[in-house]
Amino acid sequence: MSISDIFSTVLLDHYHHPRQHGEMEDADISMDGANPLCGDEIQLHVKAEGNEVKDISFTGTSCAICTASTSMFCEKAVGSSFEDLDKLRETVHDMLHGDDLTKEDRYRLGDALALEGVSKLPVRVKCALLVYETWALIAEKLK
Amino acid sequence: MIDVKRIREDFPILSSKVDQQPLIYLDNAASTQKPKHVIDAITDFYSNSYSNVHRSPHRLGADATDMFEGARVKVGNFLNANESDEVVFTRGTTESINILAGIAAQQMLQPDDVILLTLSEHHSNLIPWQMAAARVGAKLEFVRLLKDGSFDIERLKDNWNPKTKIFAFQHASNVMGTVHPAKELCTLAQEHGVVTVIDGAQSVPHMKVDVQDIGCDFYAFSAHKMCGPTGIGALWGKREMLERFDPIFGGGEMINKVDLENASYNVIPYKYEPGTPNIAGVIGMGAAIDYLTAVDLDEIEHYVDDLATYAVERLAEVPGITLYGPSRGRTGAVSFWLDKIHPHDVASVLDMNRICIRAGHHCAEPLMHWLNVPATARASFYFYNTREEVDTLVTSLQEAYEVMGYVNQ
Repeated sequence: MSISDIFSTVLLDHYHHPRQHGEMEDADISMDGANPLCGDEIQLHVKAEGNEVKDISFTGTSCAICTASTSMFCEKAVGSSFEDLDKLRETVHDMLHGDDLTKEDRYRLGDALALEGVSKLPVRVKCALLVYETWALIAEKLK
Repeated sequence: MIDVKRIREDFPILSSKVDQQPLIYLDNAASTQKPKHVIDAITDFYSNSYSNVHRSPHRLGADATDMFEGARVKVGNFLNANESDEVVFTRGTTESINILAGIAAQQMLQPDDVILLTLSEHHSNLIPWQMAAARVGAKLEFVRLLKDGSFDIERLKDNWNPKTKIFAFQHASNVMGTVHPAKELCTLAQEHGVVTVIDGAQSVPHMKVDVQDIGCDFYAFSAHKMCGPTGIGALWGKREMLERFDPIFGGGEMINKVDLENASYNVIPYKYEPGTPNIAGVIGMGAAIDYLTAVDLDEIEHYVDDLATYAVERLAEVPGITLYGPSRGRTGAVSFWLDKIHPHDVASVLDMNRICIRAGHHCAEPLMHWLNVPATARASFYFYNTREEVDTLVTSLQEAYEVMGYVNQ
């Protein structure tokens, strides 16, 4: 494995051009996520309607893997149902822990598939998962 | 003169290869590698002399006790203690400071007393004191830092709080490598009748420490940062200090007489060492001290200072780098920030180039706030590292910009 398997073109694109990035003044809920060991700090801002994410954005300071993963999630989240995002979270979790992926899983992941190489760097897995942990806290509150 | 090629042969792990290339280990401030001398001492003890110490009335017990107490003498000499009874074996710096903070909360501090710390402490010399302060309603105050990370001693002198009872500070910074003037600080504290506690985790591996010359009351360190095993270290304390206080942990060996309601305690250091100790760890620590003494601590200090100075000079060539700490007179810890690249990404890029460094807040979050960064990358050197390794680090950092997509943008 080479370093470009980790920092792939897709990952770097999300890192340099993060989607859904910025403050949201009329968010229904905002939540902080932090990785105390490495210093990643993100905030997710969500507008929800019923069981669906109407709009989402993120702010904060984080590494390339955390920033890219958060960008990928937020891009996917707009217009998605909570159930879809829970399923996405499970699939990302499985992928980062080295589980085999079905064709359906790969389709569901979309750009997040570019995080697959991170599973080879166990200490960085938590960077990629921070947005999903933060989302889980939000989903818990909104449900 | 340190013959680094010869020295490297003593460390089995340094000959391991990643993709046919040698591993480059630059995470020594976190923990150092172990020489064969230490590994063999532990194996030999378990193979030939193992037994419990002090209580076992047989030949193995006597051998093990001799080796165990022999290591105490080595630690005492290593720190130039007045006597080896002033050396208490602990699990390391963290446990040593927790013991003192526990004693302080129980036997030294009154509400509104002040515990003086500094802004650059490792969490192990911060959290135990926070806990002690919370228990008794004492207050924490912090020595400010000058721009280069050294303590603002003039300000401290001018603003000394008469309610200060304890002054606990690091001898050297685990983040910036700054070596602080321990003797001057202890003299100042003594003028005010304040008990001094020194976190020596980052200094003992790098220089000759003389606790009598420094004039502190307590000095703590860990073996694993100086070629010894994990889970063992020591708390040195002046005899009258160790005798003045009661232990906070009870159990076997630490007693004199026991009945159902009461116990009287053993003499120092045993009253602070309840339970079967980490015997093999103590023997491994003794072997590490023998090894470092044979290499010579003055030579180590000189070699690492020279290498770290070279590293600081070379690292300054990397575009967009910010280096923290003094330019000279430091331990081997060199922290830096690369513009636009998060320290964890730096560490991953280097890891793929077989270079081990640390990234994060280094258990010094308040210092990160002071530096105004979420984290730093840290390369930390020891006497088995080389200038060639520094060169490879610098080249890999220059490549990091390309890997992270910053070239041709």
